[in-house]
Amino acid sequence: MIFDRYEHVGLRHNPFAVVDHQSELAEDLFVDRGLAPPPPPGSSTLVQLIGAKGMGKTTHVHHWRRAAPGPYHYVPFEPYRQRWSRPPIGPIVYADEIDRMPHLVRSNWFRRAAAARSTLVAGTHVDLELQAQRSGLAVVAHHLGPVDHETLAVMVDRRLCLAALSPNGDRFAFSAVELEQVLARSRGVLRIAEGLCHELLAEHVR
Amino acid sequence: MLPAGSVVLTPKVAGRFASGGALVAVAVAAAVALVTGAWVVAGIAAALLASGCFLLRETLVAMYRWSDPELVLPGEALAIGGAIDLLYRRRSRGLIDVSKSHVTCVLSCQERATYRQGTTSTTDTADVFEHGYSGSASGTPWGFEAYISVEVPIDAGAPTFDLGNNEVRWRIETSVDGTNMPADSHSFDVTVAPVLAEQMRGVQDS
Amino acid sequence: MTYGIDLELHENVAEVGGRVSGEVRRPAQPADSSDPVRALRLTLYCKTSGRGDEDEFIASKVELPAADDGAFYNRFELVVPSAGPISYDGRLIRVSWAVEARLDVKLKRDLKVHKPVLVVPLGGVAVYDRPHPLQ
Repeated sequence: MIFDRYEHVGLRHNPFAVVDHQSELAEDLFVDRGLAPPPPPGSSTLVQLIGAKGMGKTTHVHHWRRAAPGPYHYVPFEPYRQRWSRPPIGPIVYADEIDRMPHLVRSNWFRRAAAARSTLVAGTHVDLELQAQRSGLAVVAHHLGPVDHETLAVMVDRRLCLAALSPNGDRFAFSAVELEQVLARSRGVLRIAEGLCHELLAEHVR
Repeated sequence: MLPAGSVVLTPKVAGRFASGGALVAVAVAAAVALVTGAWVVAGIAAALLASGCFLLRETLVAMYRWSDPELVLPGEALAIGGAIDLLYRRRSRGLIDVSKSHVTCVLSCQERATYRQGTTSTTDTADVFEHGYSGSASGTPWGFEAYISVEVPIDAGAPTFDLGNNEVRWRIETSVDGTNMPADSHSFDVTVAPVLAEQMRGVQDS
Repeated sequence: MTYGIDLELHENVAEVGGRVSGEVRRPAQPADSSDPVRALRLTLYCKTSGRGDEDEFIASKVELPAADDGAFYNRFELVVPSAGPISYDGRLIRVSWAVEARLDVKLKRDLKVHKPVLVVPLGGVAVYDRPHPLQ
């Protein structure tokens, strides 16, 4: 008889694969980091999620969007011409990587949002408070940095729990030492930590 | 005369172009600055050029005295398990004493997993195998050659594949050690076939 | 037996360039059965999982017509591509192979059954042990 190695440790699969931010699974895996939710639609406010790559900005944008739906605007790195595309306006609008927008496009967007009393919720690598305020928007800023041991443990446990074959049966768990090593090697960047957990679990089941 | 079926590999990026190109660019910048009277820029570029030439002197000498190496494999692809003899060879300008010299080959395997979130594409990599092998160099009328015996592991990595988002690559990095020898290193992409070496099949049959 | 399909593989290990063989059975259905079956499709497919986006492809397939009473009894052989890839369980990537038997049911969702297959290198049956997803 042959059977899957992950099933042998009580898991359906390796749960540390990359998850589509817009999927239902992403909501099940969301770890609350204590950020205050955005103000309601129509509050003429820019809510910034500021942080380096992999810190969880996009995860939070999509989590809030599931709670209060609105259009979503993503500013790609390439092709460059797409950075000039006109972002939407509405009672509440979500966006990501808005620091990639050309200054003119962003200023225009902020001014239109202020005139329409929009609430903007956006991920960015840099603080855009000054530009937003000059355009007439109030600003709320959340700085997302490296996660701590507790947050990492919650993320890991939630993923393992959702992939468990039996909710009440024996379930695989990393040791405290292993989690500390993952935290140290990833320097608290969740995206890197997920990859390290994937590799570590794969080594465990070999 | 190479055995029938041998395959000759050339390095991924020619070493002479990588280092020499950078120095040429600095030399051109220095010349332009000189001609246009930008003495400060010319001075800085000249200093950079001199430093580069000093730091890369061994590479520059190697580029002059030695051609890029070739790696000769017994076939299109390597088999799993068992020893495989590779031939490393290089041409030189004139006769050079290559006694007491060694060629080192590091065989490595890398997994590459690409995922997309929105329009952003990210590739995670993991080095799943790495092992060094070496062979003594012997002089020839036109340069030198070295036979190195390498072994593709049976229990690490996977035969080469590229399915689009998921890929396994194998590589051989070569370097040479010894007096009068080129102080450079080169990288060769190799293919590992999903075939067990004949020696391993003999073990199976016994 | 699942959904009335009994899929049995003669061996659950196959070499690249080799064949996966087996038998598939389904008993005759009652005359008043409400699931008219058009055909049975057998495929050998490869799928990845892990950190990367999923890759999936069908390596070989066979289609068997249904008898009037919806019964099947067939032996089959599916070819494993000589280029692989082999079954693999790495740090970031897992490559899995399986045989799927799918009943094409008219006006209803198709019924399917899967059986995992271990694909090993040429010459690797009984020797090649790791690393692959199954044990």
